[in-house]
Amino acid sequence: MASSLPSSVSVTPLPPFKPDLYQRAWSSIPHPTLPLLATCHAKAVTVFSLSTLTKHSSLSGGHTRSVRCAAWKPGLPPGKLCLVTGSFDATAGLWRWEKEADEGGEGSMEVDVTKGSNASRPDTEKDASDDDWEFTLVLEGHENEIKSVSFSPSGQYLATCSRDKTVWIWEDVGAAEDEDEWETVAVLSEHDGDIKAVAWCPDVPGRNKASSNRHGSLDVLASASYDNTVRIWREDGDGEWVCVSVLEGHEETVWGLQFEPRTDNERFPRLMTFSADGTVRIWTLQVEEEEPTVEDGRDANNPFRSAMSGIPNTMRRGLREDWVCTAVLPKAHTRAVYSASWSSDSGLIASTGSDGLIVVYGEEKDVTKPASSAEEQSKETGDHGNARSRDGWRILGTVANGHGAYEINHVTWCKRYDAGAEQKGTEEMLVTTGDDGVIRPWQTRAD
Amino acid sequence: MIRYRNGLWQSALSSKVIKNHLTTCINTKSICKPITALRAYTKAYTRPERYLRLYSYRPAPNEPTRHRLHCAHTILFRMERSDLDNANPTILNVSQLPSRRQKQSAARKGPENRYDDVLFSKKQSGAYGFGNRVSSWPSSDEEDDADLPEEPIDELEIYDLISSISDPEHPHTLGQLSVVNLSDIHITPSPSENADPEALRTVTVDITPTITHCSLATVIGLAVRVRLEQALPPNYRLDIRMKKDSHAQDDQVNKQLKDKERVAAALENDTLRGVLDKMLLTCV
Repeated sequence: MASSLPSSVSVTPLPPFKPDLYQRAWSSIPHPTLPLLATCHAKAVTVFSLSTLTKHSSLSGGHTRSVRCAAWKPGLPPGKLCLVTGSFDATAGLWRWEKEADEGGEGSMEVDVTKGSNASRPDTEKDASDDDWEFTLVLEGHENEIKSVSFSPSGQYLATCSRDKTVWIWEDVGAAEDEDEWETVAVLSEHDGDIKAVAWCPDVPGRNKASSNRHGSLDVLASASYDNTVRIWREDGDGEWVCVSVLEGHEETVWGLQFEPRTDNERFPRLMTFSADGTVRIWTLQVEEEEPTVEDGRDANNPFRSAMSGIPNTMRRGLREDWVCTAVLPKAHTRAVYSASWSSDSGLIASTGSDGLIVVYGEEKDVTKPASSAEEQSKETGDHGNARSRDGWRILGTVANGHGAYEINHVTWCKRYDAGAEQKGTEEMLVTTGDDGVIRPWQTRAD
Repeated sequence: MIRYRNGLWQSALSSKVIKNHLTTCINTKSICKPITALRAYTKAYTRPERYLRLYSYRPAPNEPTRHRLHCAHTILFRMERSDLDNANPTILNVSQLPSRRQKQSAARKGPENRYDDVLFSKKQSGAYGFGNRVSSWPSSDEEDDADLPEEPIDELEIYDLISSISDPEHPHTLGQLSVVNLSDIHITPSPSENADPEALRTVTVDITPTITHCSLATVIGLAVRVRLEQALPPNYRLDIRMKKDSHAQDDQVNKQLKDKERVAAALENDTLRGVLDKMLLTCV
């Protein structure tokens, strides 16, 4: 993680991935640990190798309409890949890719980067063909287009969302038997409009600490909607998923969201949201203070809270969360922000959208404050009133017309494995996906 | 042979040759170089007088195949339709509508020549033998392009593009019904400003539905959006809205029309696509 904020970040184009797709591409999702990138376009997904920046394999034939989104299933054993695709045909597809047993160690699977080895270049081998992907399961249930799919950090849950205004949570109940069996555990229908995106909170100490006194799953889900709101969902301990908070502030469709991926402090991860109103916002969970303070401060004119006073504290705490918008990133976009990505490595945020602009932001750390996380923690909970001014974000770099005249649909931070990388597997780059069908990597360097 | 403007056009390709070429391109899904000019030809066909400018339009190197093939389809379709139509497709009152297109009517001589004026090649050699070899299509010459004046797309051109769309339930065009009006079309930055031609421009079209609760407002808006998406270069951003207070649910309709994802999904709906295609039939 960066110790101090650079004065600026230069963003320079690298040669685009090959081949050019020649048609609108919606999103490009990097594999959590392997040098692979899954790009959704038309009714297919093309998987690119991040080592060679060329096509690794493709998934087609599973959907009757455009594939809008994809998610890699995390935590699979070496030699296995699993991708879930969400399509305008209202279904989600589960695809598996397995290395043939007799291929030996130098098989066509990309080498797991967590082992730190220099990846062999399997994608150049011939056996990385389309046949290796098997369309193994269709998840049916949504009435209209699926807009987003997301795996919980453990891979146990899959969330899908749709124009039908519902979020479905599916549980992988066949994992133990190595079978593809998924059960619907929840259908969440509180939004008043299409749900554009779903995201799970990463499994970081801050999440687990803040949730340690809860019952039930530690998983936290957030959804962004056409109704301009964001909702936070948790399991209540009885297997019921409930909305614990509604985040209101965006003035237009919220196109997407991401929880803070950094793990360097103990507070609950913040939430980044981006919208057609051209803004990117940061939301912070307000940590409840001493119980009496809350009672004094709010009970007087809140009948709901008074009515709850007979219920044990632990349960009450589980019912509602207070999320406050603590920062609006400096405005740079003139049109809808379609995508933004928060780096787990540098803590920088990159955003892009209809105006073709790519913007990189960094958070100003107050140098007068001691760096100690405990100290920060106390400040977090201490001065609510100044929250908005305390989170200081600055624009570090911008690129205009990142995809020429075309709109950019997606941006993501991604590890570099290509020949030009100085530190393979560590160094980060940006990857943008545009209406022109070009998937473009960008080198980012702090100046 | 028809001379146009500075006499730059010297020869015509026959419509048959053009059709052969387009069919070949579509069948083989080839992205041969000539196809890069097809987008321009589509527009040229719809707006012959714009040929000069459009010919100079160079698609981005990454112009999606889909666009190019779509253009090929569109031209072919229009050419064939044009052949089938009787020679007199005049619609009542259309002459009262603002248009730059009327000025060209004198140039149309008859069915045989009706698209000659848009199908000229700048090179004599281009007229021969490319029915089989797509690569021999006259290429867009860089040096020639440099000489051509860049004529900005203005409000009237936008109006011409969309006023000819048919109403989904009346046998008239949106222009005739005053659903689209020249005064409700705005381009920012203004075309008169001599800005970078590659810079983003926003086209705002305010639609006036015929009745305040017209359920087809979304479809009309979608048709306008589709029409302009197909016809305008990629640096044009579209804001299609219901004119304020003209529609009971204008906020909802506006939001839908602005939502790229919803528009994309709607266009994959065959029923809706059919309605839109029918509405766009009258766009020439």
